[in-house]
Amino acid sequence: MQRSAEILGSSIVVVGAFNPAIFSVDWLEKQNLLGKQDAEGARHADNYLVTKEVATVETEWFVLQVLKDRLTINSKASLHPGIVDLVVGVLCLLAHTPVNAVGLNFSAHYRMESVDDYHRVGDLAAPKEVWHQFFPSDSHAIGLMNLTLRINRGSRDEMRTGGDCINLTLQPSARIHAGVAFSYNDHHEVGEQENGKFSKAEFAASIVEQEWKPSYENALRLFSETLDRLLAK
Amino acid sequence: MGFETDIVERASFGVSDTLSGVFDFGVFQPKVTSDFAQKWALTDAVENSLPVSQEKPLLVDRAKPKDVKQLRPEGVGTVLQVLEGRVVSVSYEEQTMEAHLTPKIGQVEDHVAEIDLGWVNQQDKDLIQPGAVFYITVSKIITKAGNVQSLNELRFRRRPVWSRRQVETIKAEAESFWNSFNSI
Repeated sequence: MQRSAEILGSSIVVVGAFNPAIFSVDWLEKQNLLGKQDAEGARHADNYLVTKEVATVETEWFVLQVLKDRLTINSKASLHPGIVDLVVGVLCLLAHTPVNAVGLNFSAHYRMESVDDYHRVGDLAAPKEVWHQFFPSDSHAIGLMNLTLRINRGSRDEMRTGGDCINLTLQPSARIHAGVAFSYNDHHEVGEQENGKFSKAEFAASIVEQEWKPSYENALRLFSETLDRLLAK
Repeated sequence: MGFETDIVERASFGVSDTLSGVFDFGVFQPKVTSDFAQKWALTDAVENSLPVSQEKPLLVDRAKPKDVKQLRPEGVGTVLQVLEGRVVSVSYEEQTMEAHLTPKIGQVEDHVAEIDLGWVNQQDKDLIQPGAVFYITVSKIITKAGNVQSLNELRFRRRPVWSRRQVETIKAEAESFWNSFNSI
């Protein structure tokens, strides 16, 4: 049975060349990307900002930030598929935006049943025996702060620095006492389209549209099964 | 570990005699004094070697974590379920819509439900029509006071434009249907 995350979040990052100045609430509402109530709330949000360098739009369910080199949208408080629609809508409307990469990101915080379980996860994910040779356990405590793995398709010999990959991070939760936090970054490179049928922005939109659901299903399953295996008696 | 900002040495990069005067760079090297060795006296790994691989994790006595006040950011919730719904039919007389719901978390089967239109935000009312897609997020919220609340939020999908890929897919499907009919 899949474990239930106490806190679940999702974000989408699009790397490319953007003009933050156009991402006003008026523009989003006029393009029917925002409803009237959401738009009204966003106009009166404390952090509403639109300049040549940065745009920030916040509603009850997302925070959108646009810089010259990236667009980031974070769901607030819960996982919300609506952020997919917003990003796909923006990329389809701005079909000639140069886009280089897309990141589909998911994070989850799990509460452990006991402090012992919490330490067990860290000890098994990053065994301390090697380090205790230098820092004896009778006088030093060693704890896992952050563990990041990069998963590329292909063998280790074929591993390359670029290309599609998954970055998986495990760390203590900063929001839940004796909690464990995972983050999953599904990174997609957007290369030049060989047949010229779709622009890079349109291709990026199709990545977000088609990959978001399988990506979050993989992420949730991976988080849950990793904890099951680390905590197995 | 401390830093002193005095110039310790001036380095000149090797160049030909004719150009040495032009390219004689001064490099400011901070003088580093370190107390690392005193604070972190390392034991000799060879003398105190432990077996690297063990069947069970090394048992370590840890100090119990301090009793910290539980941080409960207001409004933070546990997502219990996210459902994607597609409107099957709408009854304005009864103010309800029938929808096909697909749960997105866990192994839960699709089902059909009748939803009161009163749950639809005013801004989404004009989006209600057969075929329209919406999302329902079911969350458990723990307030600052520690009370547990349930939150259901319904929001309609907003996709103002078709993506070119969607158009191409539809064209391909239409062509396939056309060919199927033509072959009869």
